[in-house]
Amino acid sequence: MRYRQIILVFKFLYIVLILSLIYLQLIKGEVCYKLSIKNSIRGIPIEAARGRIFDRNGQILAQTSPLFQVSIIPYQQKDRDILYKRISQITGIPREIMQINFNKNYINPYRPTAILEGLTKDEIISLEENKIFLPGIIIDMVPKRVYPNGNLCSHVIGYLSAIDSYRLTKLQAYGYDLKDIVGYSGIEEYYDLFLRGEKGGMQIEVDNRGKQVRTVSYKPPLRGKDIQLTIDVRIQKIIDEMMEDRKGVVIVMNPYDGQIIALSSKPDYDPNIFLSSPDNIAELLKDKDSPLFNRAISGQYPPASIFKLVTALAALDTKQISSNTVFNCSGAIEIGNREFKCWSVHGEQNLEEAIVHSCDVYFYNLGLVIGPELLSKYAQKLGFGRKTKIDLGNESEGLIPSPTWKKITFFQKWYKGDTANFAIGQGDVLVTPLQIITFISIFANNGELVTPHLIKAVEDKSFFFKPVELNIKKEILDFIRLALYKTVNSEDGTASVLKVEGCKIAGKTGTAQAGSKPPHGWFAGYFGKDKPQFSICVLLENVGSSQFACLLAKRIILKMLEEGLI
Amino acid sequence: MIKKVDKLIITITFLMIVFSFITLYSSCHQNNLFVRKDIFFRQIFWSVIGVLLMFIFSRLDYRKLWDFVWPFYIFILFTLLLVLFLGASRMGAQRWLDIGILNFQPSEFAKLSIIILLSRKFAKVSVNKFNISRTNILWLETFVFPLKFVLIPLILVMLQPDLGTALMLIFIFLMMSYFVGVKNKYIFSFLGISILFFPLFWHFLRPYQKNRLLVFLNPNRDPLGAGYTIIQSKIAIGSGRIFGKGWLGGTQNQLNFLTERHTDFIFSTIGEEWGLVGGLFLIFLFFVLSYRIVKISRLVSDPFAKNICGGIASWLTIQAFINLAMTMGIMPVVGLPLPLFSYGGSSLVAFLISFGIILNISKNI
Repeated sequence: MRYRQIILVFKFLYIVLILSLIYLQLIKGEVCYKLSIKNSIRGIPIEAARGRIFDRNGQILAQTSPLFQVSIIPYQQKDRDILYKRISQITGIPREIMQINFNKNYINPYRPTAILEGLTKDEIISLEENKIFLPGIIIDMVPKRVYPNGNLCSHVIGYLSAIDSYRLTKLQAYGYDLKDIVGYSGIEEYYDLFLRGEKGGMQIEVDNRGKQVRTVSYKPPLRGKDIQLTIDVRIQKIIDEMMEDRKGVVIVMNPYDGQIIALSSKPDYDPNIFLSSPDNIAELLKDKDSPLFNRAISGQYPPASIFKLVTALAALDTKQISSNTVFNCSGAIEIGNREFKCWSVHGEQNLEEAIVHSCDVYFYNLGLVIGPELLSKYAQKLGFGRKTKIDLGNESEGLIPSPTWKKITFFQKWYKGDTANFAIGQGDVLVTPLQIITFISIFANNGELVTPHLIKAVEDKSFFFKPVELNIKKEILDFIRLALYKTVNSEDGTASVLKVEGCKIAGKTGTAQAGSKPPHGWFAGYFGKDKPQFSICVLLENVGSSQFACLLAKRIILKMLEEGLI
Repeated sequence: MIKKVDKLIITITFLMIVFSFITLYSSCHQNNLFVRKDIFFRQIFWSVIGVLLMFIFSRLDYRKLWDFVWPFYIFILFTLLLVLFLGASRMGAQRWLDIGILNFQPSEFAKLSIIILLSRKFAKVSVNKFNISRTNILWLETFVFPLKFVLIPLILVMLQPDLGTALMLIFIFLMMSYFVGVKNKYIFSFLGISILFFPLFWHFLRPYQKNRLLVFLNPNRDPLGAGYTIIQSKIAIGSGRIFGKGWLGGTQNQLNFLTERHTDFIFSTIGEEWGLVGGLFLIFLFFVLSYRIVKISRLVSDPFAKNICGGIASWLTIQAFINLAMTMGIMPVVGLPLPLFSYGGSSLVAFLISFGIILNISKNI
């Protein structure tokens, strides 16, 4: 008898079993465990209602309202064509739409997939009545974003759309998921984390046929936070009305704390269409005037004569000249073999007159006196060449040139002519309208650089952005303020058309070269009953003269006066 | 001569039966409901019958089997034939005989009858020739004559078709031949010839059997069909990790991912709910039981008793091995129950009767 041998055979067989058990449970254990969980647990997300957006007075700019939709769970509906046919008979909606929606929304066989969206109450009622013939359909409500004012404020509010792969990779760490609806620009994008709320969800345990056995956990969705903006819809409406179909920007801001009261960038768009009629999006994207482009923060223009204030401030602050220094304007000046023209012949001008009349020759000379480095330094100190840090995405920095910049960018020498152009805000200088309004506010608020912002409060929490004190001498500020006042209020001031009874206005015009097209018109200033209440910046693209900007500003201010908003 | 039965075998048998009840109770749940009460209570009923028979056989002198084995063998062949003509068909195979309220699966008892019959044959040769391994007689007497008694029931179970039992019969025969000392060259040449004939044999397989073999080579070949069970079983066992998901806590089983979990795939429930600890404990029980039976075989002097012990130990070990190996995916799926654990009265009773015989043999040490 082979006792020992047969025990050996047994031992061998049992060791094989033990080894394979160890392999399966120790080495492959975690993998198998995850697989078994995946087998039996399914998550069903529940959308959270997005927070509302209000203006400063509590007017609704964006809200979430319920939208009816019909969904099916794909694995339960093997024969979808029959279902589509029946629904089509009841509601009259063509079958193809359901097919397209299904393909668009399908994620996996266990996740409810919407086949009809945005149904009317009548359609829902007739579907509910015929539910016996439509086994397994789910009729539910999903929150839908609505912008009651349409185009108004669209560049501030932004819009929503389904997440793209770029945003998904960027935001996945914050819990964003495939097919999420996220903000694409404006406040909707910038404060998306506040607004979106927290998605709720159910975890259900399913058996081998995917049938729900029980609910493992339920997490109610958490409503997004409401946001109050600094925007005043009444003023915004006036501006939008006055802008008509002009291309350009109007910004109204509180000069003391940087609250944006109104911001209009035309052309604009209706944010509602991004969620309801995707076909129109292509049109928006193709439009040559780029309505999706927020000119107020992303548009870069030469500041033109408004920049003369920077030159004046730099010269006075460094005591290169006094306010009495005089240069003679004969209509042109020769710098480095080239003639630099003035827009008029002004004769002998002191600094105040030069600002009021916007004399180019005076500032060519002044620029040459102080030099490009200093000018560049002051421009940057006053907020140019960098972002204002407004709470909107895609802000441009603008461009403040300097000899070093020219060398490293173009490998070219800086010429005196460059300095002359720089001093009057032409040449390479580029600014955004938002930088201009922050800059002009410095004179309204006695020397502080504010952070422009749109957010007033999130739920109960108020926001305050501390301005930066620039330490400019009071005499200099007073001097420039007077010059700005005279620009509007003296007979020969460049903005004299703006003179309005019952309101003190001060400001500076600018006419920016725009290549072969007619120049852009600028007006930047501040106004108020006794002291400056609002600062304003108007930019109209390719209108030819700054006078149009002044006129628009005037009409806005008159209307505000009429409605008692000043 | 100790007139007492072997206590270790009794202890282990009872441990296994209790463990099998606990496992089966869990297996009979679905979606947290005790949905297969009938199966659970029927198994308890069979256990009672089996334990009773075990007790009777432990009192019955095993030597009587020497005379009774022929009628028993003939009876089994007769029932196997009956199954083919009258048998109740389940899951595509006719394996059960419906006697009144109870179903009877003769192929389980065929294994036992073959073991006893082979024990008698080998004992005869052994008594006459003193020692099989030293005989110079032709291999006909030691190998081919006994083989023909195996081949008759083998062909009958193949016709059912029951590949598992057919394989078991072959393995029992080979193990017993090896145990009694038939020369290795006979056994290995038989194995070699079998492998050579495999392509021919392939044509006799049913499509589902072919599929099972192909699926073993690649479970992903048919993940929702034949491969489904093996994939889910592996996931179930693996997901138990070291300590398991706890009794009644196995999601794979409770949620019906494994449909055959109370029969052939019962080990997946053990693996999932009791983990490596439970799995090793089960393997340990099987090993100790087999080892003990071989030890008894060594201690008794009667060659007939020795052979019976060797045959039963081989049966137990090989069947446990094939079952566990197929639930873990290291062997193709052949329908074989896990001894004492899988639901099924015939298999349980056949094993308990065998243990009763062993107990009786153990009295003669």
